Amino acid sequence: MRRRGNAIIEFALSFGLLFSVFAGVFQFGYAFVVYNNLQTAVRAGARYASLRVYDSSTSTPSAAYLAAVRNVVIYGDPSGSGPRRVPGLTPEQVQVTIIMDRNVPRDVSVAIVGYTLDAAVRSFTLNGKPKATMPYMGRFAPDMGG
Amino acid sequence: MPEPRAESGIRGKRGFVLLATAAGLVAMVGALGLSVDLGRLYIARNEAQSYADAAALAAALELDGTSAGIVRARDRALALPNRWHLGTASFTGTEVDFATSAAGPWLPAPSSAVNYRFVRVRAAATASLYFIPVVAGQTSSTVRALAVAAQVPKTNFNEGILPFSPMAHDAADPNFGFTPGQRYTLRWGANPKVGPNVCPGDNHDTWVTLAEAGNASERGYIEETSSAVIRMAIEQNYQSRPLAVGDTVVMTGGNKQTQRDSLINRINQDTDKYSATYAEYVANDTGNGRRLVVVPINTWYPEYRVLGFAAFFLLLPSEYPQGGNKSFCAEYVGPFVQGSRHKGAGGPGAYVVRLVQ
Repeated sequence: MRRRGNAIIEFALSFGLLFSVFAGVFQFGYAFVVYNNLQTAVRAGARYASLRVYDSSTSTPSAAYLAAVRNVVIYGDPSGSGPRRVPGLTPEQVQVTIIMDRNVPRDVSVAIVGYTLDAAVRSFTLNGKPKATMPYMGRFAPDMGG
Repeated sequence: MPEPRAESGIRGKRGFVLLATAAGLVAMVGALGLSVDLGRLYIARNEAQSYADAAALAAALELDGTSAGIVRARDRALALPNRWHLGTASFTGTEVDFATSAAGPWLPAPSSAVNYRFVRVRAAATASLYFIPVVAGQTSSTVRALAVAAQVPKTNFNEGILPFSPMAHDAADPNFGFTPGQRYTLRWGANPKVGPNVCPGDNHDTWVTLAEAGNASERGYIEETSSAVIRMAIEQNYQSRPLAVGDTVVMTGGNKQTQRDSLINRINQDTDKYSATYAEYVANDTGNGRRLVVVPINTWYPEYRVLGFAAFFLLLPSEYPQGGNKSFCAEYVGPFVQGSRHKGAGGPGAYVVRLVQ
């Protein structure tokens, strides 16, 4: 009876320890995988944004430009078709920033904001990262003033 | 005798859970180490590659065959805001080198910048390790990334060209027979004659006669006649159809007043609308590149075949007066780089910046 009790206690202790470590492995592993996917996605979005026609005269992009870049980040496709690359990522969580220099776009940055990374045991909220910046190299088509 | 064996078996069972736990724990810590340290290194490598790619592209856009271009390129590469360590640390120690070909040799500061149109960026990030040192003794690891970008020749345009097509003077010459700094005709005036109404570079019987060989509607604008499309083409580089070397351009008259107004709008998009020449524009360094345009150069009458593409510099607004007998002139610059506010670093033609490694 005493031996059986010892085994149960040892099992309980070791299981608790191993489970904690396993949970940690899972938590970090999952978080890194998702973060890496987000990083790949923002890079692809920034690259696309750097080549797409920029049809605004200011640092505020047109709705069409913004939607297409966000779709590339979320779906890998400017039209928004296909499965999401990262679970739960919404368009509002993809921040697109145009850096103007002398009235023309110079760089474009794409970042993740307000995305909660659920790692099963704990959640992290990403704000402003991952982020990728690319030099703008596309066709600038500013407003023609009517 | 069986009893002692049983005692021995019980002692063994007693230690087994401890041993199994210890072994499992070691394995799990190892897995945690792999998960945390290798995961961070993998992400750091992605971050470094993303930075190297962006820096190489940004630098290649700045190359214009001058030493100032090399300096600009290096500054631009180093100023890119991309970060690593889960987006918290800036890159340091980045190396930027230049070459005339992808095979090198690579120089950090070439004595002559002519034809240096390749940029190599090497970025590195040293990350501390938290778990791997327990088993391997290594406390940090450096991830490296390399990217090579270049101004690569471009022989077709789906968008981006200005809708005029000057007449080549020499089809066999890489510069199409043009002299950099000289002014040539974007659109001919009505009934051109040698004299003040013809652009200086074309002000010769040979070229005026050739211009007269086509009818009046074939002396100017290519492709479109709609005023709205003309405006989009001049002010936004819109193209109604792709154009490649070897294609035939369709010359049309187009509304001259619309073209003139749009050219002035285009010039006014530039932050330097006061420099009279491209050399002055470069020296002032206040422009944003909107006056630097790319046009197809064609063989003219009767084929109108595209020989290549070239950069031209739009003149001061006062140089584009109203009236049908005046020509629209622009200064020949040479190599054009899409998306750059400077001319290219290579030979004559059109280029686009791309990653080549």
